[in-house]
Amino acid sequence: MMLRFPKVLALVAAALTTVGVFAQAPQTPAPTTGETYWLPPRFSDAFVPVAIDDLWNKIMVVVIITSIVVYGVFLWCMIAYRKKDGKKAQYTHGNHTLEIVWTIIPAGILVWLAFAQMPAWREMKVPQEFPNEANQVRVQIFAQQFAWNFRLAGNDGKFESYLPAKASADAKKWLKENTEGGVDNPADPTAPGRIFADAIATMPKLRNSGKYWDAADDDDVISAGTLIVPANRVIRADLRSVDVIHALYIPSARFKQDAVPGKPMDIHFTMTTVTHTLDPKDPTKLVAKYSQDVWSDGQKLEGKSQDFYLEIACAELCGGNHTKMGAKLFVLSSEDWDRWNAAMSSKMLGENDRRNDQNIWRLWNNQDKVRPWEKLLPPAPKYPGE
Amino acid sequence: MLLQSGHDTHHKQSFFSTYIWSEDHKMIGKQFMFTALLMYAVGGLLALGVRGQLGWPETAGKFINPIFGWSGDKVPGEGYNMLFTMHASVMIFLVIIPMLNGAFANYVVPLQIGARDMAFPFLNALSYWTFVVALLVLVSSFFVEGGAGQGGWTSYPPLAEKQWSPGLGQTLWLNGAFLAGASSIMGAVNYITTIVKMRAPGMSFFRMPMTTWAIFITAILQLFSTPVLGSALLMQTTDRVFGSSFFLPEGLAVSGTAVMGAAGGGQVLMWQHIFWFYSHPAVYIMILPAMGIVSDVMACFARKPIFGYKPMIYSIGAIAGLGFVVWGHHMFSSGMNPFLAMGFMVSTMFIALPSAVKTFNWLGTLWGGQITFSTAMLHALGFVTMFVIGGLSGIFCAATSVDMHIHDTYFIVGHIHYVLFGGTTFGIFAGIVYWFPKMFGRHMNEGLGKLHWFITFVAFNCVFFPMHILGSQGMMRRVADPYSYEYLKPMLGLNRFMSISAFVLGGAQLIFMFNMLWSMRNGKKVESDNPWKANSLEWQTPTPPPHGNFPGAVPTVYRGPYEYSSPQVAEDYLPQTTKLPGDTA
Ligand code: HEM
Ligand SMILES: [Cu+2]
Ligand SMILES: [Cu+2]
Repeated sequence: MMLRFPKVLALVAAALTTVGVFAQAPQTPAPTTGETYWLPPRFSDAFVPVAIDDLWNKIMVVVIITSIVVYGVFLWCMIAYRKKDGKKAQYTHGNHTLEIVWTIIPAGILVWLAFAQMPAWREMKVPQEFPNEANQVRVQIFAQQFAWNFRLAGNDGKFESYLPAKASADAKKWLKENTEGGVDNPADPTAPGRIFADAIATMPKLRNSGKYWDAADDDDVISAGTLIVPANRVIRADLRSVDVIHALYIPSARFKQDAVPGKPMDIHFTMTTVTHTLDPKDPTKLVAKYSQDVWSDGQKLEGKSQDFYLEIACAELCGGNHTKMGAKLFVLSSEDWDRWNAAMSSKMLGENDRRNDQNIWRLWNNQDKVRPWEKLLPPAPKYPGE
Repeated sequence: MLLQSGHDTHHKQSFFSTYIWSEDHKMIGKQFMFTALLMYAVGGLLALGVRGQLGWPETAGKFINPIFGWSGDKVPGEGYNMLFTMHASVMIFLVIIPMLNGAFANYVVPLQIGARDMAFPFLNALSYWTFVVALLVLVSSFFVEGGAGQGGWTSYPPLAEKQWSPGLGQTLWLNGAFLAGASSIMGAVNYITTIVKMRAPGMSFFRMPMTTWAIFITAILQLFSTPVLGSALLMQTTDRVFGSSFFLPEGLAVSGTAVMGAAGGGQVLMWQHIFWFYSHPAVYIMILPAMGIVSDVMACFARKPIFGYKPMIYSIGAIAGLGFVVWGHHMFSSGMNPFLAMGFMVSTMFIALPSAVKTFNWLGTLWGGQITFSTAMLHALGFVTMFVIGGLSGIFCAATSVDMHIHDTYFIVGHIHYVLFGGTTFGIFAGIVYWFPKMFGRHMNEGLGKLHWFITFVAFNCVFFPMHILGSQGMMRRVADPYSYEYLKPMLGLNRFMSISAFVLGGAQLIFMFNMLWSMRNGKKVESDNPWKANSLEWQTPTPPPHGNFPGAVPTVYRGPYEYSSPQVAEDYLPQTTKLPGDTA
């Protein structure tokens, strides 16, 4: 019954190798960048994701070397110091020199690591400079159970405001008196109006303008479930959640940020690989550049393929349908995106009535607050038109 | 010393006062042990439910749904959330913490320091029965309308608030965790007092075995951190029950309808700060005692003094101290102040250091030893080898920018299980096998023990190592059907392999349970009171120890607990109680 320890380890090694064979990365026909241990294909060569992969690899090297040393010594002990009859173990309580050495070496590595991970973090959180503003695309991302809502500003470069969902009698009166009577919002009489009142109170500009929803010039491009962005421009998003915490996760760009209700997040990322082009006949239609395998029940379906697109996931548990909270990410070339945006925006203009009570965007302004540390950021370029 | 009178008189005990409301630390220790093992089975079955779903998302529901009375062919998302929430909660609050800081702390500490019982025997019994109530409350949540808690063991608001989790289950979860915390605090007060005031003559602090040291420091951690968890739990309870809004800002909505009633003005992230202020120390509460146990076991079966006894203690102290200032590393992606995150990153780097030092010290203990591969030793070696992987994966998590990619993925799940299963659980097995002869006067079967160890070790790695790969590939944790994402569809095969391994792993635990129960009656009888030829005090008293622990006077201690292979004597061990010429207490 006595199991020989080295044999055991050999078996474990064999098991792990088997696992390694199982664990091959999925094949994607789309271009991948960077050589990494285990990480998924990367579709952005921007500074942050490249730095993350780079650091990942370096940590992996440290980890592998440490493992070889530790397991080497361990195995040596298992083999060399097995009990022999009549022999006594070495009688020692420690060795100061050795202990100092094996404290200082890991300490050195950890200090290196502390510094090595800073540039990417700084670029992610406190960017020293954004490339010029023309190179930025503003997006509003609004998470809700269980969907991602995206809003682009359209041709006029300005996000139109929305009427909050519930208006109290007071608020409605105020609106009647102060506007051209354009409120036909069927406010729920049972709903107190504090959200609305707060929103009005926190939006002096809106209040002063006498307008709360610019139906006429609303050309915002809104979508639920698909985000379409240009390559090589900074996507600067205002990320909010209307209910619980969600997390915007783009594995192919190594990007993650929680969407915390009540706490708008100023986030940014950059994609560099173009995944879609425009339909030459209709600039509002996108055509996938690549295809990907079709999988079903863990099997690749031979001879089948489908359009390739990048995915956005929700990484923070948000309820029963958390698992369904994915979204698609399409990357156009910068020129294509400009054409697409212009076409979409004109198409949207005046066409869509978003006063519908269900419209999630009506709740957007309820969270207009600034993070205290925002002061530390370089002055944020204003939304055009603000 | 102080407080020691009164326990050596053998008064007659009724069945009730022996087995139910016992105030004897040894019986309370066993009560904790068996209750925790029972819960280990419950938590394990819940985990198999999780693995079943991840391996066979289309069909698992056929088997799981009837058990819980869920409708449909597939496991509902809410049901899946319940499974992993309760798996983690049971394992943390009802298995690991009570096993380490209930069973071992109770059974071993008074024996190791030469005390006749705990300082406060009544409080001790109360601590156990509070734990039982906590258990009943947590488990009963499965049977209420809407089922058990579904917010993860971290129960982040707003999801865990009543607007989004209306069922009674979440409130019961809060109350159960609160009671478990209360039980923990009672235990901690007891262990600290006992260790400070009731050591035998000659048992100075630096002659205490590592198990006792680790439990001592852990008890301090518990005493300072658990009340903080308690207040967080209470705040969430009042949010849910009385409509306060500690964690609810204004302006939120449920299914597009504005949330009214709550006054608003709360902070969502405040919960995370308070919760992790407890729960990071809690992860050390869940491993430090196991580190102590494996140190004792390794010294004994390598027949060698612990390498660097004091550095080991200082490392535990450093881990405990720093453990209070690293909580933010669980929140790197939460959007907290990025400068604060840098502080947490630095403190996390620091805390990795004592963990590394301890590992090297264990290797130093093995080096030059005379190693016997008994079952207890195999488990202890399992601890060391697996903990290394858990520590190293922690480094990836500690690097903020890298953590952005792996946070909330299976990489983290891999990390946790390498420290808590590969580490702590192996440590628990080592401890049970090691002290079993003292508890029951019989040995556990070595053949079955090794079989259990071997299958557990291999299956464990097959279940949990691939999690690192899945996580780095971007598979999120807490997702009922990962394959609804295109990029995760190819991961099903690997997940299925892990699930099959998980069933093997679960099955292997039956061997352990059987071995324990069988050996209590039929195991090989111990031939001496000190079957492992160990040095510490628990082995220098009759087996099983009588009420009052030491017949006659409590022993006097002359040296540290690790004098194995000392040149002073012919044998390769030298008990703490042996008086050599020239020894003074
Ligand atoms: C070498 C030392 C360690 C380092 C540097 C470290 C670092 C970390 C970090 C940064 C996280 C957060 C990761 C994330 O959620 O993105 C984490 C999670 C965790 N760690 Fe460790 N860790 C170490 C050792 C341990 C030990 C010894 C234990 C417990 C026995 C432990 C238990 C946990 C648990 C339970 C979680 C996940 C909690 C959750 O989100 O559910 N870690 N660790
Ligand atoms: Cu989600
Ligand atoms: Cu932690």
